[in-house]
Amino acid sequence: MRVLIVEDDRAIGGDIERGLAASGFLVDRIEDGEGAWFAGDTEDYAACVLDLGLPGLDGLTVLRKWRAAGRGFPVLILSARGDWTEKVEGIEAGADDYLAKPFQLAELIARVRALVRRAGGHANSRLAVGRLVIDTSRMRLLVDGSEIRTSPLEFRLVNYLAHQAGRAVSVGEIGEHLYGVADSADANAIEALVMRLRRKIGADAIETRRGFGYQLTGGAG
Amino acid sequence: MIARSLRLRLIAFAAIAIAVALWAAWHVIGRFFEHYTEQRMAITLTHQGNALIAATRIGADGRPEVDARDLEARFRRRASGLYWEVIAPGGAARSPSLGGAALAADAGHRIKPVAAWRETEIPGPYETDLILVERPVQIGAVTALIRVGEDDEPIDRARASFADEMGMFLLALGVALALAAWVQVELGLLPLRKVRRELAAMERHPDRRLGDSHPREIDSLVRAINALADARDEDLVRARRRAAGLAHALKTPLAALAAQSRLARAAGAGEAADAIDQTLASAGAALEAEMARARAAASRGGPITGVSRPGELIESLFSVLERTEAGARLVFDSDVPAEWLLAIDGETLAEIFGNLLDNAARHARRIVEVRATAEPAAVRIDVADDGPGIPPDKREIVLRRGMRLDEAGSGHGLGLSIVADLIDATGGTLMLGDAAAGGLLATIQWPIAMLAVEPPPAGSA
Repeated sequence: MRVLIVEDDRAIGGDIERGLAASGFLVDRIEDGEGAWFAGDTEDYAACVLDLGLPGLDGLTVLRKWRAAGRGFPVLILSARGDWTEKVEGIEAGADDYLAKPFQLAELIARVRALVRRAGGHANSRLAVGRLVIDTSRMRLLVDGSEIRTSPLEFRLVNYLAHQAGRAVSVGEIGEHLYGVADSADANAIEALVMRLRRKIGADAIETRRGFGYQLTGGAG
Repeated sequence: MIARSLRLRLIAFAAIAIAVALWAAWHVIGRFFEHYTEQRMAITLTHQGNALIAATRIGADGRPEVDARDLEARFRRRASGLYWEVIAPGGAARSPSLGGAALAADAGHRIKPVAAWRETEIPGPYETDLILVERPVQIGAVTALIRVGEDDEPIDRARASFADEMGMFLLALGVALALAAWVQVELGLLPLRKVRRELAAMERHPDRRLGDSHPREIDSLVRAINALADARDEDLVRARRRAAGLAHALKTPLAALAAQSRLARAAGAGEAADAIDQTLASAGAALEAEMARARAAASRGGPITGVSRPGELIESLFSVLERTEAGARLVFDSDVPAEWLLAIDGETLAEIFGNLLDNAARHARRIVEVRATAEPAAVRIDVADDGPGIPPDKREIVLRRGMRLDEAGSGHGLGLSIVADLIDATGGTLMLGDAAAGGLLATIQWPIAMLAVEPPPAGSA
């Protein structure tokens, strides 16, 4: 599994390279923005660790260029600045995770693994319900063909409801699926989750069956 | 102590000046009173003298004869205090009140008659002194010396009682003047007290300056203080900028050092690597805190550089937090209206809510909720989680500078004290309380004037 490391500091880059290589990844290391953009644009990577402060093209620009070109591999951003505006910018530019320097190598490796697992671990399946398409391989949700950003929990909920084959699912069942335990105290959180999901995919996509629970209809499609 | 207190110095000087002036006034007025009453007495005595002249004839033997019937009765009463004496070359006549004694040495026959009465003070026939008027007069063919005298003891008594009353009055006047001086000093020092209040405010809010409504006399002082504060601010900003730059510059070497530590570990020096890692972690946390402080300082006092949409920003922060390990299992919910505009620049607002939400996410069990209310005086945003919360007695501690209850999760989330600093720098307040779901409730309030309501531009989510 190939991973791209873009980091201009040799010590850090080399350290990440050793760590990821020891974890069984095949590592390409690049030290400047232009080279990174080219590599990401032409090679297939399972994930990328991208430093933001790069000579030449900066990391955010590289990331935006990749995403604009349809390169969808998961990207973990590394940055020395560590402020929230940069985190927001990174995520909005298409990053999948964010790590501030200085970081623990073990944490970085765990996060890269999680990104790779999320992107490729699921069976490549697409499930269509009404106007919705649930892409479990990339954890993407499409409404009328365009991608909607969802939180991991929201995706798990919509994926779970989609797999219930048109059945209404009680709050207790949802709680058990999401949290592993059924706790009446979780009803509020689940209700808020459903409300947020409805705001993103349309109020009619999830219907409330009084006395039974929630049912995913996908809206009028 | 007096030398160091302007107030005491001014009041003491005023009191001394008032006391000296009143004491002098008391003496001089007493003198005037005495002089005046003596004059009054002398005038009365000249009237008596004129009556005496009219009642005096010179007998054939050259002795004066006085028809005392028209004179005052007191002349007839022995030692009454009122006396007359007529001395002619041929002999002398005296009032019965004298009881045979003479008023003065007999010098009448050697003098020339004059038109005016001469006033003098002489020892009396009894204990007290006399006020005496005398005048040589031509009566018939001889020149007689006419003398009328009166005991000055009533004058002394009147003077003494006048002095007493005058003294009481002057004392009261002195007290009144001293009070007036005190009031004057207080009023005069009032501007200085205002300066002191403003200085105290400056101490709490370093961006404040002394106002310009001060008396001309302390204008230059006020200007000097403001200039000093400006200079101090600039120094501070420069120092903070340097600290932030340093902190920033140190991050990459720290990461490199961490790499070296791992190399050391790989080479078998595990204990040394542990020690290095521990040091690196605390250095990293210190750097992060310092950078956040620099940010708080930068936004404090500066002009309002921007407006931002908290609703949009909070949703963006949600999408960051949903990617963290703690956030991935949580529901984040916000009802901050998309139309809200706050007069706070986006970066500062991102730091405030980023850190608050991150803190909430690390402690929440299922859900982090953000609730917005526009109150009459304040725009209020609540961040609540359903975690264990912070007991009331610990809340003050976490808001104190540099304190942090939860030292776990290094590198993530700054202390609430820094969030409080940032909120304070933007003119808001942070309060901690209990959330309905049991966790921590962080309530932020900004003046309602900082809120504008305007639909977001089309195209923004």
